[in-house]
Amino acid sequence: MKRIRVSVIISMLLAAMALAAVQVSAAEPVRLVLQWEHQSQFAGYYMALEKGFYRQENLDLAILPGGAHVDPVETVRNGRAEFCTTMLAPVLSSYDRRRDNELVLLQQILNRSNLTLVAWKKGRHGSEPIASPGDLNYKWITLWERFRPPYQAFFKKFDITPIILPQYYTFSLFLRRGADACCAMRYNEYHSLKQYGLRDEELTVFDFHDLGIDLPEDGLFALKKTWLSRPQTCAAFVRATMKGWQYARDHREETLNVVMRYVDGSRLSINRPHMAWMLDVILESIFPARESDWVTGQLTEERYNRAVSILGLGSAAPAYNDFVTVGAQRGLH
Amino acid sequence: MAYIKRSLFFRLALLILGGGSLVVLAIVAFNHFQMRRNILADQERYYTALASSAAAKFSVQLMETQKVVDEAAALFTTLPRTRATALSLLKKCLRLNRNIYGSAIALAPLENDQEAGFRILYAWREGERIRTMERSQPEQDYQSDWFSLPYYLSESVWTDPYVDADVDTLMITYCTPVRIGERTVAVITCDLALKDLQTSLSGLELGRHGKPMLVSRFGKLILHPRSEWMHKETFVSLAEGAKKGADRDTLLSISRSLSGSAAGSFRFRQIVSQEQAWLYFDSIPLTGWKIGFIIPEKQILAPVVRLGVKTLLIAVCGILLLLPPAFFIARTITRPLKALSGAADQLAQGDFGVSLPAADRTDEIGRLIAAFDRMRTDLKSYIGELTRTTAEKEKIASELSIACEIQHSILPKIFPPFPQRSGLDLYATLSSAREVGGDLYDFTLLDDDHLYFCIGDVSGKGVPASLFMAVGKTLLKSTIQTLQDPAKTLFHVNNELSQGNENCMFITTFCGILDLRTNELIYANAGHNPPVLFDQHQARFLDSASSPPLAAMPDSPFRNERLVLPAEAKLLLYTDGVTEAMNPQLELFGEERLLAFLREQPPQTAEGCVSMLSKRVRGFAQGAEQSDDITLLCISYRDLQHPLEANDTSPTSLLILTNHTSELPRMVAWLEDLQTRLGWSYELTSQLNLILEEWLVNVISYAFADDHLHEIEIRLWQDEAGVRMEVSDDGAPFDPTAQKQPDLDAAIEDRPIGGLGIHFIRTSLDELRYARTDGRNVVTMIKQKG
Repeated sequence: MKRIRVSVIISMLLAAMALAAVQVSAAEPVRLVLQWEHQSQFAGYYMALEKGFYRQENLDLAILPGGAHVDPVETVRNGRAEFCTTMLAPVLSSYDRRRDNELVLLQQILNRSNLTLVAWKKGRHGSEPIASPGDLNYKWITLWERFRPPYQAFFKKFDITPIILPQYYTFSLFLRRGADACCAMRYNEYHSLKQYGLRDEELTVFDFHDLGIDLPEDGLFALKKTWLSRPQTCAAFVRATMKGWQYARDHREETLNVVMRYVDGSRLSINRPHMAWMLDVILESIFPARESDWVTGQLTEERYNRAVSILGLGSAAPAYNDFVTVGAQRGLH
Repeated sequence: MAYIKRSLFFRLALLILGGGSLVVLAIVAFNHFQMRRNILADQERYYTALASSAAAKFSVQLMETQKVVDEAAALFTTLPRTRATALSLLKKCLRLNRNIYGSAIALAPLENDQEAGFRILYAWREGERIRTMERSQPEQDYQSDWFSLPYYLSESVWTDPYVDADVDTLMITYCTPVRIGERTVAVITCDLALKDLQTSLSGLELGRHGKPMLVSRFGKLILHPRSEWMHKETFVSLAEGAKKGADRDTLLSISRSLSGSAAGSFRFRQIVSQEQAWLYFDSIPLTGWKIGFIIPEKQILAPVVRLGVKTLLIAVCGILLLLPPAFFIARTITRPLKALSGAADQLAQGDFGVSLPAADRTDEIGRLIAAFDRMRTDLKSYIGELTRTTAEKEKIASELSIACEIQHSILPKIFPPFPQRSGLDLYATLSSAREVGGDLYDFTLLDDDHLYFCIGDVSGKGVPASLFMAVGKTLLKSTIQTLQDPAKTLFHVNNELSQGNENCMFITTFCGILDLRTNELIYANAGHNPPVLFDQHQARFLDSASSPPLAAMPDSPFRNERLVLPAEAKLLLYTDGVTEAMNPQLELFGEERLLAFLREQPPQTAEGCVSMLSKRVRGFAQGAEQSDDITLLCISYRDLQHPLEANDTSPTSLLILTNHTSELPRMVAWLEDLQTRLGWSYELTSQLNLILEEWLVNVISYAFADDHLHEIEIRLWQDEAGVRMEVSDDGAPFDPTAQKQPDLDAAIEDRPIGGLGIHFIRTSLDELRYARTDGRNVVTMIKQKG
């Protein structure tokens, strides 16, 4: 009798342990919202998912595509996603330390600025040459509302007063010579313009990186609350993501195939050569060349402060330690 | 191959067929390339016209749409901007133009929508009905090209093609700003669904593999056979993604020519199939688009290829049809030739009865057969003729040779002619140029002390000459025997021969009488070459009066000349065959050479003189054919009654031989003559004969290293005691008395060859002596009587 009881207890204990093990092994569902439609800009996330790196970290990740009508920051604040990828500038510009649902930077993905301003070399009428930033004074420039702060910094730096027109999803206004210049990401619109048959001889490109307005771009963000309450999840997510980026760097063709699957799956009319170009530029911005002042994933205090000062935020900006998590402070060392 | 080379039949057939085939092929090829050029030009005209008509048709549609929208915009400025007016305007637009898919009126963002009662209104066609709606997300619409472009550009714009999310249709939109003063209060648009354009383009007659293509202002492919490229790729992006450099170049050059010109055609290699294709295009100026047709060259050229194949088949059939006639023609030519060649073979074997192919044709072959037949007949008769003439000729030749024999037989030919006159040395030869010659010589003793001799040459040759010569010779001999005077004889004979000499023949003659006692020579010359008088030291022509030849002129005078023949002197008579002997360089032997010969090497004996001179003349002619008879007569006389030598008595007889075994019979004849004259016994004669023969053979065989003529002298004395002989030659020294006695006891096979002859001579003689005097071997042989 006694023996039987002991055995029952032991078997009950074993059952309880097995149950606990099942609970531990069940992956934790998390969501990542992208700042734009599917493209090579997010290749690292696709590859980490594709190769099961998130699964290995016991994460069950869902990638939510962005777009013109999706604000990733708002999506995270509203709790519709745990993580988002977006540019550092708009996050800092809209930062309000009084809010309790502010974001923290988990990892700085793109450390090199890809913002450019592309202008007709001879002006939109072909009669007013544009060669230097100063030539843009009183010129018609179309701007993305979302990325206004760095452009404002550019205008301020070169003391330019342009006439601003809105730039939406296309650059038709610029193409039809309704503007002298337009915004262009080096990895995206700049290359699209060339695919439309425009030649380098026709264009003047102002590369913000070269002009010293070197704002770090895409970062991985989460609510501070999330970071504080689920630090292991956040760390696991960052680890898997960076592994995905490394994989993308080492397997470009495979990565391109996956990217094109996402692109075609969303019925986006984007061609493969364009995605190849984008992947190359993005990877250059993540993995530094040998002599760079940054390491992958890292946002140093110095670069942070410089960004704050370029954006002219002053004391409105959060403190480095409040905003940049330890992972982002260290990067992939 | 070798068979083709050998066979005329095959070569002819090949030539006809090959030539025909080449011409046909050349025509087919020319036709093909001409057709190809023409059809390419035709197709270019056709497709560029098609493209421009499609572009024009679409442009008309665009313009009609523009007209509707522009009118609506003009109207909207004057009408109150209310929801009702807007809706009726939109419906009117759709009703006015059935091509318009949808139409929108959007108030500018800053306009008061409360007052108007709407912000953006949209009407669209759904089947036959027209539906309207208020757009749900005006903020997004304001960001789209169809609103922002006319709004910010302040001018009418055709947008690039886009897929409208609300109605899920590929469309382009014409949008016009509604302007009041400088302010844009609204934008009015009309949409054209591209499906209709695509359908109408696809419906064009472009052949099975021809495809339409539509390219936007910025090179984006709106319509393309590769649907996966549509709305996604531009020519630049395709070039960027191209794996091959050649493809990249093709794509970039297409891009350049599309943006570079309004219309045209372009040949290129297709990316995947790598086949040549043509792009014909035209442009739509209102939107800056290009309508193009991609037509594979294979399709364009298909009719040419089909025609080419058909032509080729017909050509091959034609050539096959040509085959039998070609073979037939070749056969009609070669068959008689083959038969002829067989006939020629048989003919060559002497079969003149061979049958020839029928000669009823009149062409070259017929003529050849006829000619062959004539040749056969001619050949047959010619051979018959030849056989006859040959027989006749042989007969004549045999008669001639008989005549020659007769002619030669009437000449004295026994030398020495008068052995009893041992001091007289006389020798003569006649060698004819043809079988029967016209030369003559003669000599005879008129009495014991007078020697008659003559030499002559009849004009002309052959049988008549020989007959004339026979007459002349006989007349001369008989006459001189009677008259005993050369000049009178010649005069007499001349008159005899002149009578009835209708053939105008004549004889040059030299004749003379030598008194053997006094050595006086009386002679006369009838137009003959003067004889040469020579001795060891000199040679000269004999003086003689020039008289015409015999039978030339009756009563011609002849004169005797006199001369005492010096001791040791010799007289050489000759005919012009000697001096006129010619060598291949057409040089004459001449009198100078004759004199030179006699001066340089004065021969010892008459026979030596004649034979050496003959040899010299033959050597000079170097094998050239002898053109005239050569007759030589040499005479010398030495009175042995008055011995000149140191020898105690002059020899009873003297014989001089040349170093040739053919001379031995003369030695035998000489001994036989002596036997009769001196009354020798048969045994003595044959013994002497054997001894002399043995010795002479020895001398002739071994004494002379050169091949010159040498004289061997045999002197013979006889007295009561016996016979003494002295044989001398100018050969290498040889002493027969110094030779060893052969070992007669040894076996035959062990004895050395030779030596026995000398032994025989020594044992047969009573005495044998040897001396070497004046460079000559002198062997004295003594045979005692009894």
